[in-house]
Amino acid sequence: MTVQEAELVSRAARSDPVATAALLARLRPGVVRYCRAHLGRVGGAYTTADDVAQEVCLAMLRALPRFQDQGRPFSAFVYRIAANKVADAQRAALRHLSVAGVDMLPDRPDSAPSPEQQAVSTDEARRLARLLRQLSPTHREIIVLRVAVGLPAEEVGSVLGMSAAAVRMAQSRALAQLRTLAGDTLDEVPA
Amino acid sequence: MTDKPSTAGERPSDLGAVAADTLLLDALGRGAPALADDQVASLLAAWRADLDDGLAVTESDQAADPAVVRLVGAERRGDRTRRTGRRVLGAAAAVLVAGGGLLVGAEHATPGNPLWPITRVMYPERADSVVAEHTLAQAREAAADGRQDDARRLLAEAATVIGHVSDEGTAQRLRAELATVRGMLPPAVVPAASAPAVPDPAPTGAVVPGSPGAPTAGPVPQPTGGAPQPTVTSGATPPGVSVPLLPTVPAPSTGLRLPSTVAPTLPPVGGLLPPLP
Repeated sequence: MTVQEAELVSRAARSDPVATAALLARLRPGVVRYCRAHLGRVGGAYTTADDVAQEVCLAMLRALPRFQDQGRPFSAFVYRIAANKVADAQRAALRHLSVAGVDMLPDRPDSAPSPEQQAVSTDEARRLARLLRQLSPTHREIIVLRVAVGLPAEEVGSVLGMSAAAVRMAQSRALAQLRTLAGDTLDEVPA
Repeated sequence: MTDKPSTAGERPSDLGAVAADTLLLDALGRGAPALADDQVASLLAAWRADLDDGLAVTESDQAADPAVVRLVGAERRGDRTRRTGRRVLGAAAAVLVAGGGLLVGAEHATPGNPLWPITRVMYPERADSVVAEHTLAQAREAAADGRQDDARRLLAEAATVIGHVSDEGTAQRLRAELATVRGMLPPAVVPAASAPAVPDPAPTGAVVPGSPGAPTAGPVPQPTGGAPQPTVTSGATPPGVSVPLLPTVPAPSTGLRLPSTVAPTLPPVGGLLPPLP
């Protein structure tokens, strides 16, 4: 946590609205990308993921007064909240799926890309998202935090309770696995 | 990949490769484009770019950030009354939607950025003063940039919002700031109705970065210390953060082996790095 961010966090924790807005402005893009990376597009749009991202921001603000600076990066605090919210959203989607039955299938997040989605999202992005689903949850989370959010390895380690060195080893394994998977699916989408 | 594809990369024994992967992911995490000859890197870069689709980070967030940060740096908040009037700004009533979520669309309610809805929800009693403060900061920037029409429009908006601020101390401070910013503009068609004609450098305690005695006559007040093009990144990580990663890779012991094995991989990775600001 940089000095400036620590200052923002501490002011925001004291309900300083200006600092809160500044903190949000700084964190929100990463949170949005995190939720989008996990939840994907629904019906071609990121609306659902963005709603969850807003919930994450709100939950973060509500929990902020309880945040104690213990030397851990603030991102650990934020992305644990985000992970919980994303898991909630995924459970809710599953529940809805089981209640609604097969008729609702086309509307679900994991359905085949809609025409809009094909227009909006690039082939490459969708292909990577498919590959990512084949990784282990930890490897997937590392890639999401490192690439989608853009956290350094140290902060990813704080989020996941690993050392930075362990993150670096794991991220190399994840990359290697992605390379293997991409090679296996070369003929699927000719690059 | 040659002998045992299933375990390829399972144990990245080559520390150089780990370091290269770290650099690669750092660059991708900053949104840097990938080189074409690394297929997975290209996929990751495209994916990351797609995640940014339509994200309002480029405009409002970055525009708001420096102004807000400057406010934070210079701010002194005298009053912390929590039970001021709980007024809901007109269009902001649409912020809350069924299901407990937030409407991003409510960003149109005020000039500025999509975060105000959240701030309003969290601090309804202070929403007015926050909006006013932000609008004034924007007006100050506009005035410093010589965008006089924008500045006047923002000042008018700020004056309206300040009218809603119920806490008198806060309102006074905001009005003083408004007068200061107005003093930065050349006298023109400004309706001097709501302006106490005090363009003197009355220290409001709020935002008077570098030039309190702003030139009232100069049509283009030179942007002084007020950060003319502040490119404070709004990303979660400042660009310099990833640099300290490298020294921690315990490469020295294997340093002698590195050149032969790493040479093919390192140059493209280096090419990924964007020019440091």
